[in-house]
Amino acid sequence: MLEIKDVCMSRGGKQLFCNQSFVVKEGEIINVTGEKGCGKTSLLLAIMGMLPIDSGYITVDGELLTVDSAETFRTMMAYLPQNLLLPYANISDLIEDLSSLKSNKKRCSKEQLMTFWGELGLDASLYDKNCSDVTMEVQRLIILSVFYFCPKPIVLVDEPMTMEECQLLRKISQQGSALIVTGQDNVCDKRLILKTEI
Amino acid sequence: MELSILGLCLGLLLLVVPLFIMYRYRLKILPKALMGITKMIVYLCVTGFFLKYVFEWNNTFINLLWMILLVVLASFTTIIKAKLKLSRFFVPVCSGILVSAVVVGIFFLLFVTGLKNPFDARYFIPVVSLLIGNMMEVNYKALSVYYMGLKYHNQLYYYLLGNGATHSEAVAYFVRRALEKVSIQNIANMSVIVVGLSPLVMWSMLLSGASVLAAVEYQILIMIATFCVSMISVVITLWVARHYSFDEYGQIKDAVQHIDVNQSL
Repeated sequence: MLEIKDVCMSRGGKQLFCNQSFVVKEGEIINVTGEKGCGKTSLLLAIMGMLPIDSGYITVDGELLTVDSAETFRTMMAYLPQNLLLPYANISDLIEDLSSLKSNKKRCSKEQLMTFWGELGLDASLYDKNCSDVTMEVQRLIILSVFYFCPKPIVLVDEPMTMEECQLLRKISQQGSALIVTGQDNVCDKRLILKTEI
Repeated sequence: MELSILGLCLGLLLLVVPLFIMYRYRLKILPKALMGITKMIVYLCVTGFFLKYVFEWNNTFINLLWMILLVVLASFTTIIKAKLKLSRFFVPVCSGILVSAVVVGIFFLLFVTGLKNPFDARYFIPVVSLLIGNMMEVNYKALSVYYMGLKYHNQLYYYLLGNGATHSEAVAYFVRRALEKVSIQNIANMSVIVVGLSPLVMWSMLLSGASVLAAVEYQILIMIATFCVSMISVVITLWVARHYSFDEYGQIKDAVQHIDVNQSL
């Protein structure tokens, strides 16, 4: 599904990591760990084709990820950043904007989402709440619930925060998505520790 | 209605009143006021000097050159007021102003006023100048809203891009905010006309002897044309600016502000 081969990355003249390789297949979760500033987020951005790599290559289904192909490959990806500082007024706007992207072939109905939220222990009233009244942990769960209903082959999650989030990531992987998760190692099939040199 | 030298001097004499009040109440803006008044007189005299010949020659090529000069000046002002990088935004802003002013201006002169030659200096220059001048104030605010939005809420842009959004989808929120700014500003200008904003076109036409009906019609149509020009201009500017504002990886270039992705995400 997704292969990273001998990848080296640097930012601002500082080498982050070098010669890192891994393969993540459908339904697998790989956990990327390392010290703060070791390039975990940068690696996710490189997988999305939003940052250059110094050497090595990244392939998706055997096709090389390049500047030109990145936009197409991103349509196969879902991404949850570490900090959710999004300027949405309401949770409903957050959900609507995400689920209505052209890259989502399947749209989730509000009823389906509410039923699923019930299983996750999330209150249905959250849907109409202001984003400022909902904690970041819960907003992350809400976004992941949209990922569950609008499944993508590759899911990138930066620093999961709670156990509930990890459980939801497992549910998403069981649908056949390949997950690359940074930070938390509570949920993973493989582990990669980012180092400057191997 | 021509002014006599004496009339002109008496008109200028009116300046004594505000200047005296500033002096009497020791306002610290007296030097600034004098500088502003001098600049206005010099600019208008220079403009008038050139316009005299432009109107006398009434040559389509020269009229178009005059319009391009106005577009360049308006672009400089817009970019500087929006606090953007001149080198990076000159082409996009120029394109937006030029295309919208030409398209709407020619439509207005050709179809609304029914002129056979829309490039006649007497009509072409005032109409195009009014459109460019009026849209400038609105456009710099819209561009400022767009780029400040990208600067302070870039997390949204990267988040949507990472979720497979096209570039247009990822910047849609910021484009909406910019276009809302243009619309609100134009609607506000329209709704406070007479009360808050003087209908200059109407008063000028009445001064030059036009009928009240014609003056009112022109005022309304110029306001609508300005609204139209502003919207088109912002859309074109943002579309062209895409190639100057984002790099090949979709990262926002430092034209706006250097953004550390690791911190912002």
